[in-house]
Amino acid sequence: MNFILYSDVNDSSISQSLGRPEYSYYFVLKAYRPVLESLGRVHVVSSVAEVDPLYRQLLAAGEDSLFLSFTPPQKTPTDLECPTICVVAWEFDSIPDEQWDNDPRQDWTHMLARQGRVITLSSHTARAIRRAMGEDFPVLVLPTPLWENFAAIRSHHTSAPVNPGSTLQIKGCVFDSRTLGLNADALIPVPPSAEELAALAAELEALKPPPLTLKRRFVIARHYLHMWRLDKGKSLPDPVHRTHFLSQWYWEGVRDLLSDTVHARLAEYLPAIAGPQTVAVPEPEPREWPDTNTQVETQVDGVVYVTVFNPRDGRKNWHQLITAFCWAFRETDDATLVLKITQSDLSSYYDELMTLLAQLSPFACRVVVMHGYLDDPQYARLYEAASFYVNASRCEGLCLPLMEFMASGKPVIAPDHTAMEDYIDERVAFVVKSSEELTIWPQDTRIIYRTLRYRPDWGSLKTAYENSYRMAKAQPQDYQRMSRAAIDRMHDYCAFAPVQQRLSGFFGLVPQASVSATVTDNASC
Amino acid sequence: MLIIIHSETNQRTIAQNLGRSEYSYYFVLKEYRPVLERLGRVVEVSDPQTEVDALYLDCLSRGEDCVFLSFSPPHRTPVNFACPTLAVFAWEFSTIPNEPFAGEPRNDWCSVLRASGAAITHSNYTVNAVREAMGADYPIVAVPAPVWDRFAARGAQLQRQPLARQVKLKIKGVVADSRQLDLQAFGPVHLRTGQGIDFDAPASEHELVLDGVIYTSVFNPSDGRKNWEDMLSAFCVTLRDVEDATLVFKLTHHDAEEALADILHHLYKNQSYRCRIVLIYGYLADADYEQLVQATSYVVNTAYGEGQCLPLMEFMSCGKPAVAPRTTAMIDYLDADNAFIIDTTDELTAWPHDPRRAFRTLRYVTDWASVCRAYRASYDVAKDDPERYAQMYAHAVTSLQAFCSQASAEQRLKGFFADLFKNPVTPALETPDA
Repeated sequence: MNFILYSDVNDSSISQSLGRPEYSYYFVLKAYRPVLESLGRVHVVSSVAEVDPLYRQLLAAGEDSLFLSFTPPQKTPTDLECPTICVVAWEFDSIPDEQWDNDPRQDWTHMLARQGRVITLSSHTARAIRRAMGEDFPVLVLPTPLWENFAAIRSHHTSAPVNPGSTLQIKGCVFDSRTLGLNADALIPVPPSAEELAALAAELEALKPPPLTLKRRFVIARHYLHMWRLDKGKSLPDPVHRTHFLSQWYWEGVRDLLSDTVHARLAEYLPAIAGPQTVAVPEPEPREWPDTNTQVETQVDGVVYVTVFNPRDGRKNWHQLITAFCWAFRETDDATLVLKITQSDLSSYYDELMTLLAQLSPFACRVVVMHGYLDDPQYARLYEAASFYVNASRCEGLCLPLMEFMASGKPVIAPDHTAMEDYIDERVAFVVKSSEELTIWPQDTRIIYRTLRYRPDWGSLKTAYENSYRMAKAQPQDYQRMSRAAIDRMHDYCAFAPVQQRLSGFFGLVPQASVSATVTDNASC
Repeated sequence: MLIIIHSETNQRTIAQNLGRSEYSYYFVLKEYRPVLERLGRVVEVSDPQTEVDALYLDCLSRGEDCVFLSFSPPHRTPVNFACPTLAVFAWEFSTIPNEPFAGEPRNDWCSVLRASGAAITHSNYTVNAVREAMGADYPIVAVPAPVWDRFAARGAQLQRQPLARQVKLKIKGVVADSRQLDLQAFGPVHLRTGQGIDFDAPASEHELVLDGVIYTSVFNPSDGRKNWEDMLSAFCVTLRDVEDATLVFKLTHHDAEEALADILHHLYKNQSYRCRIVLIYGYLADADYEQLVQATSYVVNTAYGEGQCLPLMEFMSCGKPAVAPRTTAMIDYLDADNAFIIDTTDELTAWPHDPRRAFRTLRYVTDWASVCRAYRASYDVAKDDPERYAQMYAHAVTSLQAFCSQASAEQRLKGFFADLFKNPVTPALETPDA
C-alpha cells in the first residue's frame, strides 16, 4: 500500500504558520508518518496536483494508493481519482451538516460520504461524526503515536513533585513577574495634581499665537513670502514645495479675513494654497521590542506548573489558567507557572498578557513567560523541570503538549472533555470540572450557534491548583503514583504498537519490519 | 427622630438615568421611605452638603436624634458631616474594596465605613463581606427594599395558574417578537437581508398577547452582570421545538437601539427555534406591568451576582417561582421550593467601579447546562404538575414576606437604630487616609 500525504503546511512553511489553525495538521502528519511507514510506502506531496499523477504511476506499476489529506474536509479536493481519506482534527460535538456561502463543500457530511470513511484523533470527534453519518460509518480514532519519543527522558529522569532548582534556556526572551515591576495602579494614568493642572494651563496659554494685529499680519506675510521667494523649502530636512509657504501665509495671516464663500472659491482655484492644509501627524515612536534572537536563561524551583499555548488561539482560555493560579497562590512564594508561548509574534499578545499580570498583582507566586524557540535539549529540560502540566481549554482536538508532558511522567491539571476524555481521569489528573456552552463552527461565516464547547469551572481550576500543590508538598508518594499512572496511560493510549494495531486493523494491512521514529514536537495542539 | 435621606438620582433625574449604573438607588430610597416614616420624621434633601448638617444642628439643639441615610455606594457617601451618616448600599461581590485607587481615598470602602461607624445593606452575603473586612462586630444590617406588601397584595388577586391564556398587554415603545421578526436582518453585516427595526420611528402603541408558559426577566441590558446571553441561549436550546414557551425580556435602558441591538443579534445567532422570544422596550403602565406579572409563569435571572434584585423580589412576592442561581443576595430568599436553582461557580473579577480592573474579588458564573435543566424542569412542572406549581407559588409568597416585607424591614431598622443611638459612634474622628 502507498500512502500519499498532504498538508497545507509543510517543513518550509511551518515557521510562518506557527500558531495558525492549520498548523496542527502538520504535526499530526509528522507524528503519523512512522506508523504509516510501518504499513506501507509513504509519499509526502507538496501540492494536491501531484496526487493523481503519482496515483496513476503507482497503479500502472500494479500498486494501490490512498491519499491521506491532512486538511479540513471543506478544503479537501473532491475531483481526485485516487481514493481519498480525510484526517480530521476537530473539537466540537457536531460536524457541519449544512452548507453556507453557496459552497456545498462546507457540508462535511457530503464530503465524508463521498470518501466513505475517515480518520480522526479522538473518540469525541468520532461520536460527532457518527451522529451525523450514522453509527456504522467507518471512523478510525488514531491518536498520534508519541510515547516512544520520551523514552530518553523517562530513562534518566524521575518526575519530582518539588523542583530543587533547574535552569531553563531559550532562544528568545523570558519575562518574569518578579522583575517586571507589576503594579495595578499603573494601569490607569495618575490624575494630575492641582499644581500640575495649573502648570499645564499656563503652558497652553503660552502656546497661543499672539493676536492678529495688522503688524502681526505684516510680519507673517514678510516671513513666508521671503521663504517662498528664496525657495527655502528645498533645504529643509523634509523638503517641501515653495507653494507650501504661500499656503502657510494664507492660513495664518489671511484666511480669517475672508468669508467662507470667498474662501471656498479660492480653495477651488488655488487648491495648493487655499485648499485644506495637510497636517503632518507625528509618527508614533516605534515600540522597542526585546531582542528575541539571543539565548537567555532563567532558574525555576519549587512546585512548577507548565503550560504550552498560543495566546491567539481562542480555545486555550489562558486568562483563567493564569488568574486561577495567581489567586490560588497569591501568598505562596514557591509556586511557579511557566508559560511556554508558541506564537512567534510577541506584539500580538504582549500587552494583553502584561495587563492581565498587572491586574492580578500583587501576588507572591511567580509567573515566567518564555517566548521563543526551544531546541530539543532545551525542551527536554522544560519537561523535566515541571511538577505538573496545566490545561484549562474550552475544547481540544487532541492537545499534543499535554500528552507529551504526561509521557514524560508529569501529572496534570486538565478538564476531561472533548479529546481529553480519551486519556484524562482522576488517576492521572486533577480533573477540572466544566459545563457545556453554545458556540459556532469556526469556519461558519453565518456565525450561528450550531455546536457545543465547554466552559471550564474557574473555582474547580483554582481548587485543582491548591490540591496539586498540597500533594506536591505533603504527599510525594501519591505524586509518584500519579506520575507512573500518567506514563502507563500514555503507553496504552499513544505508544507505537497500539496505534499501529488500530491503523492496520482499519485498513486490513499487515505491519512490515518495525521502524523506530523520533520526532519531538513543539506544537501547541 | 429625624431621618434625612438622599440619593443622587431623584424624581427629576430618573428619566435620564434609567438604566445607568446608580439609578436603582433611587428605587431603593422610594421603597424604604414608608418604613422610615414609621420610625421617625423623614426629610429628603437634594443637596446634602448644605442641608444635612443644618438639619442635624437643629435637632441637636432640640435634643432629637438625627441620622443621615445616603442611598449611595460608600465611595460616593460623604464622610465630612457632623451628622451621623450611614451609606445604604447594594453590593454583590465576595470582598469589599479595601484599598484606595484612582486618586480617591473613599474608593477604599473600609476608610468610609470606619469613618461612618455603621452602614446598611440589603443581604446577609454583603453583611458577611463587610464584616470580613471590618471585623465581626461591625454594626451593619441587611434590610432589603421592602417591596413585598405592594406586590403580595397584587398577587393575592391573581389566579395561581402556571399557564397564560390570551393575556393582553398594551406597550408604548418598541416590541420585538421573534415570531414576526426577519432574523436575517440581524446577522453579520455581509449576510444581512430583510427588514430590521426602525429605531427612529416615533414610539407607537402595541398590543402583545401572551399564551402558554411565560418566562419573564426584567433587566438593564447594559448592566454587564445580567448574563442574558445564557438566559437566551439555554432557552432556545432547551425549548427549541416547544411552541407554547415564551421568554419575555422587559428592558430598562435610556436608548432603545443600544438596548436591543445586541440582543437582536443573539436572536439571530440562536436560530432556529419554534419557541418565542419577546423583547419589550418601553414604558408599561402599572396595570400593564401587573398584566405582565400575571401572565408570567416564572421569573428568570442568570446574573453573576445581585445586590438584591428588585424585579425578582417583586415577581416572587406575587407568587411567581423563579429560575435563578442561589448566590449573593439571592441566598437570602431562594430555595429549592420556590425556585429552579441554577448551578454556578466562582470566577475572579474586578470591583465594578475600579478603572484599573484589578482582580480582587469573586463573582458567580452560571453553569450553562444547568440553566437548560432548570428550564426543562420548570416547563414540565408548569405543564404537568399544577399541584407542585401551586406549592412553589405559595412558598414564594411566604419566603419573600420573611425577606422583604415592610414589617420585617421596620423591625430590623428599629433595632438597628436603637443600638446606634444607644452606642453612638464617634464619626469623622478618623479621617480616611489621604
